[in-house]
Amino acid sequence: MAGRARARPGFAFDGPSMERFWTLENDFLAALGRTERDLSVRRNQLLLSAVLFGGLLDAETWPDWIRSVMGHLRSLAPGERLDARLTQAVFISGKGRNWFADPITQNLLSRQMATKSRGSTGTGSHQGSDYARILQLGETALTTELKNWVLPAAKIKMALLWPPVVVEHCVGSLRSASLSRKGWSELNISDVKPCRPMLAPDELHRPEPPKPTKGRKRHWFEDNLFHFIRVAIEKAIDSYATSADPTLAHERLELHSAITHSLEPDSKLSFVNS
Amino acid sequence: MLEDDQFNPVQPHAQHPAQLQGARARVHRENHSLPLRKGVATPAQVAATENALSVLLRSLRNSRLDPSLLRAGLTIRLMLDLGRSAAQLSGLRRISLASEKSCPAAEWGLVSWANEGSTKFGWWLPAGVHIDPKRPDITDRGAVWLPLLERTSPWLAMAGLLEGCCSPSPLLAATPREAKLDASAFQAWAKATLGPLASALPRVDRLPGTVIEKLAWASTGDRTLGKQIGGQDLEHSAARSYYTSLPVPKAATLYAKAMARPVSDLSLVAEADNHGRISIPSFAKSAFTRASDSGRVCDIRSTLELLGPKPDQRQKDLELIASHNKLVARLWILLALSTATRSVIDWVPGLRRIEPRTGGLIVLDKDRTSALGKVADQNLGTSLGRARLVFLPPAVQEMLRFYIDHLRTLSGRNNIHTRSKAVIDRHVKGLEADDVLPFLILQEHPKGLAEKGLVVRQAKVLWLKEAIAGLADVPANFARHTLRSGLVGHLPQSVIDAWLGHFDLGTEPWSNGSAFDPSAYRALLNVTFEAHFEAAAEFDRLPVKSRRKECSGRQG
Repeated sequence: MAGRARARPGFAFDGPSMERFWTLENDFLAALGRTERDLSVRRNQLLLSAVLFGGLLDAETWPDWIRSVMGHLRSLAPGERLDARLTQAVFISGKGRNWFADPITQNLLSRQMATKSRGSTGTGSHQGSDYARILQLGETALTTELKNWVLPAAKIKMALLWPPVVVEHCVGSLRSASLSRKGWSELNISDVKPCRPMLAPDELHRPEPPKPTKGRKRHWFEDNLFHFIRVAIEKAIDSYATSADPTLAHERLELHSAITHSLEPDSKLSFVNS
Repeated sequence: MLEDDQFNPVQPHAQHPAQLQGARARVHRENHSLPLRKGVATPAQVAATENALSVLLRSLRNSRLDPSLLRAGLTIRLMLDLGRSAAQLSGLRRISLASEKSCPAAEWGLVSWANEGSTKFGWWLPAGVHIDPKRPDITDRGAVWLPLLERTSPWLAMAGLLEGCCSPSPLLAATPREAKLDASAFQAWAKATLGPLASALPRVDRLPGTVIEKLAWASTGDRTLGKQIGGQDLEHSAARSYYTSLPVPKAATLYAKAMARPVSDLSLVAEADNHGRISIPSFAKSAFTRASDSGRVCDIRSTLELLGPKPDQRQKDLELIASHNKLVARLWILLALSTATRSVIDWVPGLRRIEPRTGGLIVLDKDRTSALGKVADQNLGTSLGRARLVFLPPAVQEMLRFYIDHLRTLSGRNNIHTRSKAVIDRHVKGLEADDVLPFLILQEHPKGLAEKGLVVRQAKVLWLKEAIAGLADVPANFARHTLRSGLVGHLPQSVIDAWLGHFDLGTEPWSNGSAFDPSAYRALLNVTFEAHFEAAAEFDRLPVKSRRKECSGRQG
């Protein structure tokens, strides 16, 4: 399918299966406050999180992904910190690409350090739900379950929220989507969910960015960045314009007009009769 | 009337001998064009031309030059301002209106008229139009009114064209050949006078495209709009051209905004108060950029207001018939607007077709009939054809649920004919699942209301449109005309195109490599719907109880 253009959305959905999917997602979010002790439950929770929120939509990468993450978790001694790089990006060797953690999965991963030594509660209030059932599955059964209905719905969810090129990359059809680490994070942040029924638990709130030490310096710099760039460009133009080479006349004029034109806040046009 | 299916933007190119491979490639190149592309003067080149023009004007004022250069300079000036080639500018005339209500018959050019004691000026010019090589008999050329820019008036004043005169006189050269010679005379003058600086000037045929670029590359700009205003006949996008018919005042405002600002921060959103700033004679105010009347924007708001309150099951039979049918007409209009349906919509989507959280709905209203399309579908393992993704706004979903509830209570009514009851039950069941079903309207039984009661039958859309909604003078797919003509300049072209299912090869919104953002698309659709239609979509929010109290109060 890669490389072939199409004129219509590459998916079709039906209401009930999407309803089931959203219920699963809501249950997942509602249960985020609890911490799981059992390693297999944690594995299921992490994989589900990566599928629901992190765009890990290529089932072929799941075994590698689980191996990378769980191998690292198992190797941790009680109280030892998780490798910070793992919470940011997981290298999936089979496909030779990185997977970048979304905020929720990132949070779940970094919580592993704290829960390794502490006790935990059970799955509790969602007994009988899809979510509670999925958490108890073995690895093979989990993969089958996810492939059967979670993955198709997750693909549709992504297709309703993200540009097709990103979705195609997530499902493994396009090798590269040329998105930076920051680009991936922003995709998750700008995720438009009009009716998410609950707030994220307290621990999901991001820490405040460190405040600048010297009063308004940070803002002053941001406001004036454009000015600095402009001054630098003008200096460059001046040195260019004063060069003695006459063959540069045309380029000089072009560059100068292009830059002044684009920096001009408003042209001086007005209308007769207005 | 032209059928929508004839405006497939892809297929006709392959069939017509005049548009073989090279021409087709050129069309696609144009569609994919980036700013600063080849064939259109760059901002630097435009700036160099402006400089040269100001030098020329100064020299002309000092009477140091041959006066014939005045016409050459004016030609270049108008190419930059009006977006028309030298050949198109030839034959323009200076027209004085006796009254602003009179329309110059087949005369184009600089129009002057007296308004509140002063003389006003403006350009009355032919709009660009899509010419279908297979149907040359259809002439659909509308007109545009462009305000006179302040930078143009010194040229016109020097040529003595801003003085009061009564007889139509030619503005520039009379023939295209002479006009082209004028343009090259300007270049010859520039080369002789400016020396090496003249090398920064573009070829004259690259000047007119700058107006189109300004209109096309705004954040809410549109290439079809640019070509209509710039008077360039469209080589692509027959469908877009077909649905784009702007009132002349709106086109004038968009042009004025585009010309007044640099491309970088331009948003063409036309505010209502700006219409008053550009003086337009009354004959032009009622004109459109397309001549045929199929593209008129329909006044949805007043239509919906006429349809009246929600049906109430306590109503008497005849009242219920009227209010039920008006409900159907209202739902039909809102579904047509929110899904931008291609053909005559005569279906209601079942609730299970609608994505529960986002309101997404896959609309398939254009089958792929060509063998090529079918093969493509087979290869992709889908039968979706030319499906589109639209998002039903909450108001429409609510209306749909109300319609289903209303049908359910209707089937419990005593005097509904037995067969009709079964039909209604089937519909309710289907609409709660994922069926696509026709509208049901309510009627008296042919053998009499008293004997047989009420019956339902499937609605014919023409009847709904004309008899119930009173939309006799708009085309059946009025929603597409309304959306494209009404929203161009307000929404990015990509959003309107995705909504209506228009695309050029390589710019499909849902192709694998597309960066079209569905979240932004949905947000913009909802905002648009809210701003334009939701106020009208809301109806009769007063609870029934309070009205009953009022009635009983009066009786008591």
